[in-house]
Amino acid sequence: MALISRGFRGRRRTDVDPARIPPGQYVVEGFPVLSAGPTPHVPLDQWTFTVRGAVGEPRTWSWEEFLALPSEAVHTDIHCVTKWTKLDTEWRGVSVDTLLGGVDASAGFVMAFCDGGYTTNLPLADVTGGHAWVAYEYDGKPLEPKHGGPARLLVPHLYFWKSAKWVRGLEVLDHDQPGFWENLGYHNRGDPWKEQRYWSD
Amino acid sequence: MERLAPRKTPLVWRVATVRDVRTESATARTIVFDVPDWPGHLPGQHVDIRLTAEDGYEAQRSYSIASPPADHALELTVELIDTGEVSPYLVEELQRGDQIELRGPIGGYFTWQPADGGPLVLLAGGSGLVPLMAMLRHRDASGATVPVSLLVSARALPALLYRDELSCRARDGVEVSYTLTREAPSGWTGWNRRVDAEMLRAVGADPQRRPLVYVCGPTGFVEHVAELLVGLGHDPHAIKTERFGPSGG
Amino acid sequence: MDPTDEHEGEHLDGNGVAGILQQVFAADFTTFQRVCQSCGDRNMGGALRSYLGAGIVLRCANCGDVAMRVSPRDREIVVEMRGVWSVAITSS
Repeated sequence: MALISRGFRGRRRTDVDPARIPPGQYVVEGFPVLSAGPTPHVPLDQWTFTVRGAVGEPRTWSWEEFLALPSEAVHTDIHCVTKWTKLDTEWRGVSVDTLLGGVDASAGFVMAFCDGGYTTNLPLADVTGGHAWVAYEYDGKPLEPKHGGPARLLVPHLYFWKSAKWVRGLEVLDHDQPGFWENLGYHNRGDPWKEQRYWSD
Repeated sequence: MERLAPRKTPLVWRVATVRDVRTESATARTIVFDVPDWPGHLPGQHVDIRLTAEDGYEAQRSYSIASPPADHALELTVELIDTGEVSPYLVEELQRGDQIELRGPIGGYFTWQPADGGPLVLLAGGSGLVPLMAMLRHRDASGATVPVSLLVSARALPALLYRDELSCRARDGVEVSYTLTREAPSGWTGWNRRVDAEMLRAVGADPQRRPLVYVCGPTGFVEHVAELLVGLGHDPHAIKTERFGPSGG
Repeated sequence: MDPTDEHEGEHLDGNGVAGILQQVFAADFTTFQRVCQSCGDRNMGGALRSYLGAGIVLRCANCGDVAMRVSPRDREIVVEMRGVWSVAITSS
């Protein structure tokens, strides 16, 4: 039994509807910066986004081409496996449906790959059907490098390590294989409402 | 000279009682703890602190030990981080007689003791001074005569820690220099700029003297100073560094 | 290593995770010697760079390759180590 620290409450928000908070999470005001490595700085004229793998010919967009794709505004809550939840975040990005348009859904899985070598795996069904975006704006401004800019994956219905920062493409796979955190024992799917943090959950 | 090794005691949470608190600057204070069965520590080591709210919510942070091993009480100097979660509690809320959980000592890498020799060059950014202060206090308490040069970099005068104590310790082979990176008051005799190579040479960080160099501060400070030291010809492996970030808050 | 403060994503170093790792090794990880599998650099645990993500990543200060990954959980701590690590044994 831990000792209670007199008068200590932390900086959590407690004025929120509990139905919006997944089990084991608490709500923060700020936007913590988490990463598995240093922040890469790729000049925009060298940035590309690529869809490859079980899709036939790889597709690649330059930064300008990417911005010219139809974009969507996304208002959502985000949930980090380290137990913080941030409510009411505002994003703009390209729907993954747009990027994967016409891909054979029987492939089953994607692996997101990123500058700096980070990867994360997702079932195709979790990144299609209006569930995921490649976001390049946060709160009406270009996404800051520390938060994953120029562009990050946004899959808000899963724990936030799936929303890969500095994303450069998706590899479409006919089998599931674990990404960077998944192969250290983090859950392959990571649904915060089922508290799927680790393999055993 | 005998070299002390950290004692092999299991790392357990202990209940520490606040014996006293002292204001150190506009934004920092020293908390003096009584810790039952404290196993002793080396200068430069830190402790983990764990706070628990009534509903079971926990927050944990690391803080450097400021007191030398010979002191009977354990002292931590904590700098307030406005957006922090633990430091506002430690700096503004905690009172004499309160109890918190603490474990340590931790970390034998960023430590110094007289048997390690010198000369010592200690480079502090902001509250990165705290573990270096433990080294300096231990040098004096143990009667060592190792030459020490300490450079303290801070934003402004009100943020400087231990100023009176350092002016007393600045003798018998101990030199203390300051640089303020933002506004300096009129009549200021220290430097008034970011640490640079010229400053490092002036405080004796010349590789030909073969000093033991310790750098502690926020990540940006440590990276900058370590780069300058390597530029002066130091072997990167001979520079001991300790970084803290807002997550130390 | 807690993300709730406004952590700016900058790396810290191996000293900051020494408490967690002392629970694993019952020894002081910051003084473990390591030779990097990628660049051959030889350094101590305390000199590694540490990043906080879903778990903790420690990287070689020279080349940035992963040296160790740590996942602290409620009832266990999962650790992966890369490179060659020397751990001093002291007789008790």
